[in-house]
Amino acid sequence: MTDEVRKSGIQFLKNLGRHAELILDTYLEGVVPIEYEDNDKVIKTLIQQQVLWRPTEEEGLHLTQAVRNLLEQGLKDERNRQLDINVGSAIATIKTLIGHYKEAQSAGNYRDASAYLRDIGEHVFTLIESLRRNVHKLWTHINNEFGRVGSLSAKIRENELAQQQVATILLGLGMFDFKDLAELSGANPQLRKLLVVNLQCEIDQCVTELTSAQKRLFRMLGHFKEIRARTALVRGFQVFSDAHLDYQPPCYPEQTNLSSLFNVIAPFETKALLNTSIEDHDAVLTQIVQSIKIVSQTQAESTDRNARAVDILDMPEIEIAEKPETLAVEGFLGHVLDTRGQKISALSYYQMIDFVLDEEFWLFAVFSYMDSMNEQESNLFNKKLLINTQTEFTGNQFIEDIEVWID
Amino acid sequence: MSHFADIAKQLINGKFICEYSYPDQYAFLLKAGMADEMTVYLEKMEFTLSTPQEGNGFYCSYLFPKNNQVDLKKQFTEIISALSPLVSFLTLVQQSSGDDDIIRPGDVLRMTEVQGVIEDTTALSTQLDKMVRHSLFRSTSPTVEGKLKQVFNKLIEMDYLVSSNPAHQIYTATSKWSLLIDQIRFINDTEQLSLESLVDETVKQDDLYD
Repeated sequence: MTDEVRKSGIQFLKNLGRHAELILDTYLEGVVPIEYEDNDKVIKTLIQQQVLWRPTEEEGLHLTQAVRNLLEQGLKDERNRQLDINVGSAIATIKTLIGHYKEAQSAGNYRDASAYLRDIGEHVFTLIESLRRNVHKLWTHINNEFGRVGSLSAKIRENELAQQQVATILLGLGMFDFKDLAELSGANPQLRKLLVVNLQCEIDQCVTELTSAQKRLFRMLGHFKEIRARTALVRGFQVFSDAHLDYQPPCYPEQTNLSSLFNVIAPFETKALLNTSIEDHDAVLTQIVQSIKIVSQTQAESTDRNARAVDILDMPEIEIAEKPETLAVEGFLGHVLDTRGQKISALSYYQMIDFVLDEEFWLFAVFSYMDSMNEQESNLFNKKLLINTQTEFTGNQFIEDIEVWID
Repeated sequence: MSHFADIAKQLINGKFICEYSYPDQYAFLLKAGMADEMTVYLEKMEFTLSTPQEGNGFYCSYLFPKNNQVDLKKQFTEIISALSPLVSFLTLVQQSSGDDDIIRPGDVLRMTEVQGVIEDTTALSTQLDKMVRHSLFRSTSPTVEGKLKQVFNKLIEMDYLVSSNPAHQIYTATSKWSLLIDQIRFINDTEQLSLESLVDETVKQDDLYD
């Protein structure tokens, strides 16, 4: 018997592996994709093995729930979001099996009894696994805030469904009467270990987790609903004000008991004023007053500041009076030109003319005039500075005379 | 900086003080007994301290509204006329971000992101155009960026936003939005406008066109 089961089990799994592509494509698309439909033989086998089934004649071929669950779990697929809430029937099965087991044992039928015990163990562990998975799934939903579904309303519906399921599971778990189970297991150490130690611990923990998940779900639902209400209020106001452009609610400030929401003060700009009666501030105030400059010309009244048109053609001619030293230097350079560029020193020319200022000023005038000549002019004249260096103290250099000539 | 008198002045000048708009001042007012002390101080000048229903901010109200009817009426007109453009801003940002929720205090807004979506979405840029035609956000800028800048600057001026990173144009929403929502809810409840149902009806109408 075991060999046979083993053999056909292996064959079954191999068959699944052989048609992995078909199965996975069906999982992803919901029904067997068209490209596989011609493959009658394979499909027939898969239907026989209860991998595929057809809900109605018109419907395409679907994966059976067992296979789908296997894939969801293996792929950690988010689609696997519904909780397995059938705790009640699991308990009923376990209780029934315990009845069988006890009966077999008291009848001395130890082979059957041990088979029943194994069966009970299997059911207990399946139940534990299912509970753990439920708790895990629930927290996944909570942690990503039902991120799988898009709209807020969908999230609210998912949340409500999850709450319902949690309530059902908790109700189912409430049916576990551990006193009853303890009595059922009696002095039997194996049953006691299974039912009291394993199952009870697990269920206690599960109830704790589910209860806190329930609280979170409840809070989250409140949060979702608050968002929805807030958004609806704001969007509703927009729709409303688009439709009623001139809408004015009654003037609440005129009514009695004005809500603080509309009791908002008009900004009150505080202006600083001096309190001159405080003697301590005398020094500072005096300083401030001292620093005030009185500008008697008030800008507003001054017509001088207005823009005026200026006619540049109508300008009176003005004589620009040349400074005497400039004229003298020009005379000096004219003399150089007149004498066909003969070298002459500034000081010797100074002797020739009647220049009112002293020699030093004369030299400075010549020097600065020549220094400010344009390039063409300065190329025309050659200039040599006769310099005397004061060696004794400072090393300063003095211009004693300037010689000018034209090559 | 967070000096009692300075904070009193800010309140009297119509500032909204919250965790995001004026964090130091807000922390100061949250110290034990400080809000009470401020209330006593303001009441001497016939003002009082108010908060939105969520209790997440402070602003200044008149202690005797009846004595300040003229100012209050002026303020009321301003509040009411600003509701529509402000709500428009809320839905604009919500639609551009694709969020379920509308702006909450502390939310971070990146102007360039909002700008990018608006530039790509005709409906949203039409909404922005409409917003900047309103006197609150008045802007004649031809670009989305220019219009948005004007809107954001105005919202900073009104204490709805603070510029948290000027270089990258990142802004933080203040708790003053809570006050705005409270005001709209108050009008909705008092005038029985059933605003929430208006959205459901529009959704249903949209569905019909699908």
